[in-house]
Amino acid sequence: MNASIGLALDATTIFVGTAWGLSFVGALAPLPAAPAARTREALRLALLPVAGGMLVVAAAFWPSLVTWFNGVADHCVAGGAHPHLCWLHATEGPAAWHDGLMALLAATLLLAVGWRALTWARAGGRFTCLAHAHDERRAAVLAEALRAGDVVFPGPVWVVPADRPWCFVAGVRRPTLVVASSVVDALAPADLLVAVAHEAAHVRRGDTRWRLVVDLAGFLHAPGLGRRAARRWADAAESACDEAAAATVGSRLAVAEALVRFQRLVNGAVAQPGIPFGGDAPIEARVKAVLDVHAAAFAPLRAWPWVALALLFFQADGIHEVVEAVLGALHG
Amino acid sequence: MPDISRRPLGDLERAIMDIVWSSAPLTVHAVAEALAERSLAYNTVMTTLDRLFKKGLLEREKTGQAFLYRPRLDRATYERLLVAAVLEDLPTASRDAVVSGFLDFVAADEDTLASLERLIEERKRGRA
Repeated sequence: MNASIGLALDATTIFVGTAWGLSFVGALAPLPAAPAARTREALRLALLPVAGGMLVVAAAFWPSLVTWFNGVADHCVAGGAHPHLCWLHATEGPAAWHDGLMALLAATLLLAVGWRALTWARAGGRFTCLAHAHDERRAAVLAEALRAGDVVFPGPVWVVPADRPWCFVAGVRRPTLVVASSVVDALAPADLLVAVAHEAAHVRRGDTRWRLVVDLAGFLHAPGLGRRAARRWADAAESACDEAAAATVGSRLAVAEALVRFQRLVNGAVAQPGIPFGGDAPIEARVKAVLDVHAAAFAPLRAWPWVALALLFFQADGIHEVVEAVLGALHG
Repeated sequence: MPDISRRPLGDLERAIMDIVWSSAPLTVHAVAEALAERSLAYNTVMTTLDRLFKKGLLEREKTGQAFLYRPRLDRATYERLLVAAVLEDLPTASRDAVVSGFLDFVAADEDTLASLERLIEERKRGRA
């Protein structure tokens, strides 16, 4: 096997092993109660496996890189009979069972991430044609409500004819608010204000971009755990935007009421035949969270995964040796 | 029924549909005149009308040497179909989707909603 391919597969092994191990931390570590702190922490934990995997790969190859820059031929002459993580003297040998497995895994992960990124890219274009269905009359009603409440959405707003109560932000580069005509007809101006203030908070916080990052990073977690980490972040982000909406309209009760009234619209729509529904509605947690005032959490231990990883990096030589020994065991 | 989901209208197609919706039936010449400020070639307008006919958005009948075009759907129906086509396969839970919704499209239990409304009322009374 070509030495470079062998090293790439070894790097994949190191990355996947570390990322999958850390994804258990990402999925299970407790989160603080305050929505803003919870969102930050959930984001860190969702990205921890990818960052940790990259850091350990970098640490494992660091001695080899340093040696290479210094022009020394072999940095681990005394390294024993295990494989060398070294560009100059990488171990070549018969393909081990794990090389095939890692090649398959790497190809699967790359395909999955690429496919998901393509889905996101295509989705942006898909929603732009909704501008052709913009309902000027109801848009004026919505604009009047926003003016009266001094709420500004930082992007285009399209009101489209639909019976289902859609109200969402779409697009990463240019987030756009899409509101169904049924929502404008059914909700009072105060509730419309809350809904738009909530969506505006998503845009201002950059949630549309982070959603993409967390979604793609989820593919590099252990199977099943990426989705859980992404959901923890998304749920926390929703509550953080409820908090932001409460700050904008000046009332937590107004947000709670708007959530319940909107949920009634959703209930009416999903009761129609042919429209699917399932799972547990998160309305209860959202309403209770926005009614409770959370003290800002001071949690110095929240940074421990990053501190631990940084400390590990300073032990790059040790990691290098351990990783080579583990790879040697895998190669048999 | 036109297949709207796979064939969203381009800018010129949309402009022509706007003209046809407002004053059908129209000949190619009449549509070209209405688009005079765009300085389009007659053939461009004719080709675009033909494309809209093939997409199922226009119907036409021959009167003398010219075709008369009229819309197969009124504007409101087209817009509803367009929105339905774009949004129909949007996942019900926005947490899994490429959009960020105000609420997931998931039904909540009536008892849950009633208890939340009671909780809100209690908080209101507590503040009063």
